[in-house]
Amino acid sequence: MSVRQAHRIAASIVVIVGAIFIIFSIPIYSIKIGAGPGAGVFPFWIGLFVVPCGLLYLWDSLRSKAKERFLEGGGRQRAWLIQTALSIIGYIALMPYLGFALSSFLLLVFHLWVIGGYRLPFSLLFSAIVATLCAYSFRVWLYIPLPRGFVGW
Amino acid sequence: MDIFSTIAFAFQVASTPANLLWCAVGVILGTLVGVLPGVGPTSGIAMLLPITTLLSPASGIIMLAGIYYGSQYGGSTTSILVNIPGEVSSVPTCLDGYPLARAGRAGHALAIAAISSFVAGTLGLIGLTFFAPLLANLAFTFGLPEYFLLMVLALTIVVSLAGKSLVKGVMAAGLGLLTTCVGLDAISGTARFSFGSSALMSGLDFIAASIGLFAISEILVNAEKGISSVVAEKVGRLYPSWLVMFRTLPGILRSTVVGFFLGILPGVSPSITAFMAYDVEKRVSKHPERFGTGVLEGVAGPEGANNACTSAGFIPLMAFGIPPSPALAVLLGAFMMYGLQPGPVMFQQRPDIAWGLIASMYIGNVMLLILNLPLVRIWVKFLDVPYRILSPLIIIFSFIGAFSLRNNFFDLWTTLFFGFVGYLMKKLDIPAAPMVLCLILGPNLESMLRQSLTMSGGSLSVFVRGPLSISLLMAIALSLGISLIQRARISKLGEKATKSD
Repeated sequence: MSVRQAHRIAASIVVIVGAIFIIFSIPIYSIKIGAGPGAGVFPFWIGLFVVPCGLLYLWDSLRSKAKERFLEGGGRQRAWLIQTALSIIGYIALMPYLGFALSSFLLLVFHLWVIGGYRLPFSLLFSAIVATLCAYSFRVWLYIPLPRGFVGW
Repeated sequence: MDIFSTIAFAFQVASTPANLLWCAVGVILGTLVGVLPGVGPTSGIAMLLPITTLLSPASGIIMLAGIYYGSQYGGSTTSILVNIPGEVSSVPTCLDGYPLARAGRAGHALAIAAISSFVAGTLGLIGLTFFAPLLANLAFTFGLPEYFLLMVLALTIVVSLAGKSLVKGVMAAGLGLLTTCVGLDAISGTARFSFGSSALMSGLDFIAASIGLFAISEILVNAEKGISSVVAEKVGRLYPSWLVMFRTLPGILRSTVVGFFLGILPGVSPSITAFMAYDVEKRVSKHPERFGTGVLEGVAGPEGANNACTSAGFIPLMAFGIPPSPALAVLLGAFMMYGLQPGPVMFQQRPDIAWGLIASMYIGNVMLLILNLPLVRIWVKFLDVPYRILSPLIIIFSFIGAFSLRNNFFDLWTTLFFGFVGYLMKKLDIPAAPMVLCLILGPNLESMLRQSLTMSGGSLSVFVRGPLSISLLMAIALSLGISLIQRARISKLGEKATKSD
């Protein structure tokens, strides 16, 4: 995908988002307390402002002659990007079930061993120490109730 | 007692071994709270409130106040090193602080942030000491319409933050404002744009969004580039030279004025004053086009303003017992826990606490400078850690920060979503700063607009009701005009430079 195509898609998304806010503001436009504006007034008018901005952006992108690719670098860098993105998604998806400590441990191992290329024993040891320290410091010293998950810690 | 005897008495109270110890504890904890994204001074003070029952009133209040102003020092650290704003008021610091770190000048940025914070914080305290009664009344001249106009004035900064494309910048700002409309409407209680989701009904937290827009997006961009180190260039001199520090002094003084006078007004947070100070520095600079690429004034301005703002925030609190921010509202709770009511009566009945607190803040600022300047060496070493090890740590700390806001998994998904949005914005050259500014301004902007119009029965004449509101309208027009002219000038200079190449 080229940068030009990406700009067009982004501009279209902005226009659609603006339109959604306009449409869903209408039913709540008049819901109010007292004489002032209703709940839908502010998002309606901001949406009405965002849509033309998105259309101007779309217009600029249609006239653009940029030919660069959207994703930089070669296959290896793209793999790193995808691996990083998926690791973060997995980290958050698993945290409610595995808890903070275990999910952080897995994230660290993945980044050190799979992405970073460090040896497995080092990755496991470093990840275990860091995940444990983080969980302990934030939970015990700073009273932040980090998720425990099934593991209980 | 005359003012100088009062000051001598104040320092006598603040200099007792117990009060010095707890001041030190407070500022160290405050620095730590500032460094950690998502853990703000409000939660820091709230967490330690029960411990203060073991202390004397003076020591307890001094420690909690130390957390408040100490957090403004710490917030710049992660902003500069890894592009994660430690506090919302440090978001503008990311704009030039992180590029400075990438250019091997992290030490310069951290040192200037510490010095700016010290100078502005101390000058703010001098203003608090000598002019509090005069300035406190300023807060009462601002009604809801004037606050709305002040927020609109802050909104004009978007033009300055928009970067190369004004359309993209303004579009990002609009999207930021729309984001703040998601959730329960504060005035009517109506669910807006929640689509039946109870998670969306609680709204999208702007700190979670900011962490995503800055930190997570940076992780993704760096993964795509395959970078091995945060620092793209060799680290040069650790501390800035005396000449460089002297050159940033006018910026520090300007930001002190901006932060101090705006900080007196309840509802104007250090984050808004930091953005405004950044904008002022950009406007007065001979090279405004360099802002965003790594200029020290872009760090000195916001950091000075947020510290001056925290000093000034004590004026309405101490003079009238009105807390101008959530953190100071919790501090007010501490006062009440000790059976104290901040206000003119406290200065007469408990001068040891009232004046002792003010004196302790001078001492605390010195402690923070002594603490933070040597730490520069250690923080810069942190950048030597290979990025493959640093990036998962940044991810973990970012999400701890996001989770700690409301102990809610939805905020983690919010951070991730805005992380992807921020990544796409970077790839498409859409500036994130206008969006973040509007995430901060949006709720107050809408609330004050609606309440003002409710007050006036729907009439817009409420926004031209007096000299103050008319002055603010003129300031808005002036600010917009200057920003647009400056953009045109920069654009012409850019074209000339391209032609001469």
